[in-house]
Amino acid sequence: MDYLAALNRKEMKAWEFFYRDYYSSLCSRVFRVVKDRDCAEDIVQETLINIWHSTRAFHTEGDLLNYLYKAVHVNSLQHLRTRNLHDAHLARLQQESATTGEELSSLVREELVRQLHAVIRELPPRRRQILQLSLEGLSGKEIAERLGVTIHTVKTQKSLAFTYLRDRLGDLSLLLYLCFPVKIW
Amino acid sequence: MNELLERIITLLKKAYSGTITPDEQRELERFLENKRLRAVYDELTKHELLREGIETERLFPYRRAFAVFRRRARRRRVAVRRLVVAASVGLLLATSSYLYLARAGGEEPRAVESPVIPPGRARASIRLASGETVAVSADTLLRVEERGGTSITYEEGKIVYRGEAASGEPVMNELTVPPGGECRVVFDDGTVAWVNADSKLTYPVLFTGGERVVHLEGEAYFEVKQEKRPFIVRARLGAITATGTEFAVRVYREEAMAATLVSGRVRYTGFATEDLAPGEQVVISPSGETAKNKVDIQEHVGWKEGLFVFHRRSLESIMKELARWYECTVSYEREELKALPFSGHLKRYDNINAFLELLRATGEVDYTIHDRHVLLR
Repeated sequence: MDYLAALNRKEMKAWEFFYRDYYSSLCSRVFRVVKDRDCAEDIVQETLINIWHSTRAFHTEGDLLNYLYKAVHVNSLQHLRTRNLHDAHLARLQQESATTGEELSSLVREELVRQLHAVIRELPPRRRQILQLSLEGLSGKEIAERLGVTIHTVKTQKSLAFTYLRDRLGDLSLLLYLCFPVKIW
Repeated sequence: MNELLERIITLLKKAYSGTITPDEQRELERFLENKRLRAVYDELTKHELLREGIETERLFPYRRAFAVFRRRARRRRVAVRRLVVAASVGLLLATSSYLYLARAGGEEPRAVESPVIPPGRARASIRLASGETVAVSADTLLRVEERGGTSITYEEGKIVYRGEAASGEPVMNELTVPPGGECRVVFDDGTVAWVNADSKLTYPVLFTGGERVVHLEGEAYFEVKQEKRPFIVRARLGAITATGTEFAVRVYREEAMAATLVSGRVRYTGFATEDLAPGEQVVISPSGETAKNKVDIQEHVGWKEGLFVFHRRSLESIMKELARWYECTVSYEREELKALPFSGHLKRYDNINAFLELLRATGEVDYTIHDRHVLLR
C-alpha cells in the first residue's frame, strides 16, 4: 500500500496523515490507563518518535498498528510502574485488559469512535461545526443564532452531515482498525 | 480475535448506515446479547460516540503534536529511551492478561545499563581412562590417543572418536559439560550426541559387544547411527533403548526424567516400559511415576538448534534452564513471580539480557543483575 510504503520511507506527509488518523485515539487509549493527559501525550509521542527513529519497516498496516498498540500499552504500564502506583491498581488494570467481553466491547467502542471522528473530519467546515454544536446539545434555533444562518440551513446541514456519516460508515473500505492482538503463540 | 472484532465493527457500521441485511441483523442481535456490546450499540445510535470523537480530538489535538513530532524527527538522532524492546527474541506472557510479542527486526540503540551475561559456548572436558582430564573449547585443537589406539580429536566443534575394533575391557571416557557449556561428540560408530550444559556423559571410546551403552546425567540429544546393535542411554531413572533414531533425553539431578522422540522408535525401561512414537515423550518423576504424552518437539529439542522454546512454562522453570546455560544464579524478590507462565522462544546465543529485557517489557517482571546473579522483582 502506498501509504504504508510512505510511512516506512519516513515521508513526513504520510506521517502527518497518520497523526491525523490515529493520534487522538492512541492518546485516549493511553489516557484510560495513566489517567493523565500530559503523560498520555508524552507516551504516545515517545512511542511514535521511537518508531520513526528505528529501522523497523512494516509489511502491512495491520503490522504497524499491532506494534503500535502493543508498544503504547506496554509503555503505559511501564509508566505506571515507574510512578510506583499501588499494586492493586496495576493488578486491576491487568484484569481489565484481559480479553473478556469487557475488553472486546471497549475495543469496539474505541475503534468506532475513531472511525466516526475520521469521517467527521471529512465534512466541510460549516457542516461539521453545525453537527458539533448540535451534538453539544444546542437547539436548531441556538445554532442558527450563533452562526448567523437560518434554521433551515441548520436543518439541511445537519441532515447532510448525518447522511454523509451513514454513507461513509456503510462504505466498508473505510479505514483500517486494529485490535490488541491475542496471539497464543 | 482480530476477525471477531472486525466482524462486530462491520455489523455495527452496517446497522448504523442502514445497509444491514436480515441475516446480518440476526447475527448482530446475537452479538448484542452481550450487555456491553449492546451498550456500545446504543451509544452509537444515540450519537454519543460521535460526541466522544469530537471530544477526544479536542483533548488531544493532533496538529500541535505533529508539529512537535516533526521537530524531533528532524533533529539529529539521539539516544532513544528504552521504551519498547525489539530484540531477536519473542516472548509472550501466557496468561490472558496481556500479551506482548516482540519480533525480529528493528534494532534500537539502547544504553546498556545492566551488566551483560553472555551465553554459554562450546566447551567441555573429557576424563580419559587414565584419569587425566583434557579440556576442549571452541579454539582448542585436540588430538589425543586413548588406550588401545582410539584417537580423540576435536574438530569443527565436535569431539570425534575413531578407532579400530578391539577386544578386552572397554575403555571408558567421561565427558563433562559445565554450566555455560555445550558439546558435541561423535562416537566411533558414527552416532552423534549433542550434550547440553551441566551434563555428564560416560561412554566407551569404542563400542564393542552386542550393545552400545552410554550413561547420561543431564541433557543430551542423540542422532543414533542405524545398526543392528541397540543404542542404550542409561540414566538415573531408567534407560532408553533405540535403533537408528533421533531423540533427546533429559535427566538432571533431582528433576524428572524426560525422553522425547523425534524420529524412529525408542523404548523406555525402568519404572515401567513405554514405547515411544515420534512426537511423543515419556516423563518419569523422581518417585517413579511414568507418563507418556504427545508434545511439541521444538520445546524439548529446540536447544540443539540454538533455540529455547517454551510453551506456558513457569518463569521459575525457564530461569532454571537459563541459569544452566548462562551460568548464573537467580533469585526472586516476590514468590508469585515464579509461577508466571510464559510462552515464547529465544535464541540461545543471545545474552540473557535480551530475554530479561523482554520480561521487563511485559511489565510483569523487572530485574537487576549483579555479578552474574539475576534478581527478579
